[in-house]
Amino acid sequence: MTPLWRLPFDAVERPLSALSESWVQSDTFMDATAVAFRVQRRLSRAVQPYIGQWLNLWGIPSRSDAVLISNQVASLERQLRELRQELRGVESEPEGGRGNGAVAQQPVRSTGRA
Amino acid sequence: MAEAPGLLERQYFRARNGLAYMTGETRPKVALTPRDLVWKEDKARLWRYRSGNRRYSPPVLIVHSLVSKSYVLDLLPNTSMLRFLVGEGFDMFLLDWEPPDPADAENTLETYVDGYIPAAMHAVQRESGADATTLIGYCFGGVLTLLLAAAHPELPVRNMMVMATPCDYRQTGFMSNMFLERRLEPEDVIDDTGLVPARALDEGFQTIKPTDAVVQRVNLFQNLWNDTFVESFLAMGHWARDQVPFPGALFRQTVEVLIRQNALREGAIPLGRGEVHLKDVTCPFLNAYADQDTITPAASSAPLTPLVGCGDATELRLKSGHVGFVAGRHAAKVAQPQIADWIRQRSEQT
Repeated sequence: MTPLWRLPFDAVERPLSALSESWVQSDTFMDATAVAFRVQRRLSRAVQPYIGQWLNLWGIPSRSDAVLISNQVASLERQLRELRQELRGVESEPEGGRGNGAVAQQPVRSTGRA
Repeated sequence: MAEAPGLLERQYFRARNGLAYMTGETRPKVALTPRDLVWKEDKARLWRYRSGNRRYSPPVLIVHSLVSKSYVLDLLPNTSMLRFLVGEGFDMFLLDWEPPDPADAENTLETYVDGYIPAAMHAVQRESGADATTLIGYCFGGVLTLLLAAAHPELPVRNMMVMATPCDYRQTGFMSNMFLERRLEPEDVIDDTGLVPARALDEGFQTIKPTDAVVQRVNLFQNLWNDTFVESFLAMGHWARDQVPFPGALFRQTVEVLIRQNALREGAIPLGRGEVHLKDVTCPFLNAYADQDTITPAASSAPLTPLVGCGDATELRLKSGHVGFVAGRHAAKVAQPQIADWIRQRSEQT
């Protein structure tokens, strides 16, 4: 059974929800969201170098320092994955041909049980 | 059915649960159905659910979406889709994905469709001893399984089901329209690590229903005395905000191919060095979608059914939201039994 206090809330909320859900699908809202998103991103990119310089003064790595290292590690891991796939492709090659290297061709290792 | 508590008792439960909620002590434990990790490759994980009652073959592999965490499929014991299907005698596997990091930023559709998912299927066959698999794809996982079946007819897909899977991206609303009409480009959203941040996805989903946060809290206050409601609310609420990053290269591909070209709706999807066609999906097919789904609207999912090439293509249309198949009372009482029946009719008893 709906409590009494809920009735006025629903009376206001339901039309408001319908209106807001319709509004967010409108061209005006989407255009404004896109502009706001880009402005926010541009401001963030403009401010971050200064924050980074200030952090570096104190010997603290900045966000861009962390991102740089993270991306370098990621690149290494991707190279490792590619090497592993090539190795699997070579291992599964029939004599005289080169497999397509797809992981699907290979029996994959099982790890220990969780 | 237990008798509802009286007024005083309700106030006591309301106060108790309210205090626990405010102190953050009430988050329920999720994903409790016993399982084993049987295969892993990079961020891809294949789980097999333990059962002493496997009665049907082939095994069932659920391919989870890349957009959310998989514990929604096993949220709470009473409404867990995985627990239900295990209980019905199916040999259940789940392929899910650890949250991507910058190493996954260059992953594309091909990485999953030509790499991880076929490898996982081989692992399923090896673990189960079966020579075929029933595939279930949830949300974007359904997109991946469709592309897999179309691109790899050599893989032994016995049956396929997709749940809340988008097909016509012109009908998916706000998040797609932002890119469809070029208000935003993928580079506006992809960060310096090459990923779409989890926060961007969360904000996008929150925008679709702007008043939902307030309404949900009012619902919680109204039902704060009800332990079952509170548990379910907290579990679902946590999952809904527990977003993950998305690989940037895959995002560019999603925007260009799936959204702007609307390739799934066209039935022809550029993949690898060629093109795959949904009409080459010829296994028995079930397209399950929900009337009140605001993330993958019914109008987006419905066109999928006639696009596949099999004679046994059916639909399951539910009166629920995006998670109505996998969690909640409606899932347990309506969706899951129908899904189990469909699979059972297309499986053998062992």
